[in-house]
Amino acid sequence: MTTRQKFEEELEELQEAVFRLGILMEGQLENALRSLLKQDADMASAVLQKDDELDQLTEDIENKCIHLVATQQPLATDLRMIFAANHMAIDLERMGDYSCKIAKVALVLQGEVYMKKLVDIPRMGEIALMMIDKTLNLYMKKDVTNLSDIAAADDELDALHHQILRELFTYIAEDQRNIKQAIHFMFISQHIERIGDHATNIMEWLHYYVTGERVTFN
Amino acid sequence: MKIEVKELDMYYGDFQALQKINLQVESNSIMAFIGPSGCGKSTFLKTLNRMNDLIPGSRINGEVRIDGENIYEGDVDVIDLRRRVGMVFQKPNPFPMTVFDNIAYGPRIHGERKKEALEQIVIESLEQAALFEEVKDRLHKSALSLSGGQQQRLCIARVLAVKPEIVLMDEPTSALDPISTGRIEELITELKERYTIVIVTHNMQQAGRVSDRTAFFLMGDLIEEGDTDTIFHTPKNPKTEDYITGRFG
Repeated sequence: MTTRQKFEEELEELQEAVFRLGILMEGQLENALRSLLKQDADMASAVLQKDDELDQLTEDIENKCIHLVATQQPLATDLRMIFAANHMAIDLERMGDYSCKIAKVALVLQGEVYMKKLVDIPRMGEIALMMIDKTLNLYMKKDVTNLSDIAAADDELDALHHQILRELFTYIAEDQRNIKQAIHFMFISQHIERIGDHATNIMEWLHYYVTGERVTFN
Repeated sequence: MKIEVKELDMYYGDFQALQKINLQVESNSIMAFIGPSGCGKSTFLKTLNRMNDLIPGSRINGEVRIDGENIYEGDVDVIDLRRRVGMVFQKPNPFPMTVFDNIAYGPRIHGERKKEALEQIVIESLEQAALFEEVKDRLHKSALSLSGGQQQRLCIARVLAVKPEIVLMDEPTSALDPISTGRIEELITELKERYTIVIVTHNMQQAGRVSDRTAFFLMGDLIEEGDTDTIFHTPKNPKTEDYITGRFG
């Protein structure tokens, strides 16, 4: 096998590792939200336990990137691919941390009757998951054609976040016994909104990897 | 523009080594030529001071202008041209004489006879080549006793001694260890303030580190030329991308 062939294989492995981290992260967010909605403590605990796996995979990706830069002295698309992979892994790991924070709230609110049916938080979750899922698929295809359309969903997340805050303020104003749950739900809304920001970061890195151009989607 | 090349074809007998090269090099800049072996980059370098004239059967079409003057027009003094456009080769090639005489050789054949003036030139040239401190006590010892890196800086000093405007370097560090290579690279960057430099290198990272602009040659064609960051980061031509990422070459 030539040096270049081996390098190609290592780049492919790196891309697959980032994709795998993305899939793991999607699962974490999905389960964290489900544990919140269904008040499922076991599922919330499983999310927290699985976070170590994401952290380890992120570290592996970072080490791989350092190794490739040190040994292959990459240029052009190869260099962009490696830097993008490193940054994407960091963003995905942070998104995983936010999923854990959501799972922790699910544990804190165990057994409590929610002050209202959760509608907009699951909607935010669905939008964030859609953004991640579509971005990961484009990443594997090295395709940036629809990126700006996907990134536009971040505006919906921001709008829903502000709508949730306004609504929760009215619940607090109505009855101070709502304060505890309202604050927790505000944080969850904020976490999903941040997950959306990290998703747009990933799109920006994908765009840079494929085209060499730096763009801002957020 | 210090150097302007227009529609340059170059032949060795029936073999066409360069095809329709168009390129410009700004004054006080560093231009790097990269490309696989046999792509024409060293051949092109040698057309810039008519070193190719020395090869039987070589001929060119097109223009090479230095400060606007076509160096291939009839009345150009080739000896003076090679003083103005000096060259450093892949392997250090000091003359088998003292350090002093190596540097003084050029000024002497260009007519400088005064001892004080020659001493001044030797010291200045060695200082510019960042070698003076290392050899100041050995000026009258054989240049062949210097290390490979020192010999190469001596060859650079020898070029500088005849007060060139352009310095051509053909893989100047390929025979040197990493420390000597680093010294030469620092030197190249310093020399840019006074001279225009064109360097051929097989070391992509070296081109990336020292040059302002990079030109990629392939099979006698100039495929792409641009600022060095762009060439190594976002090259436009897929052939450039394939070469610098090691997919061929």
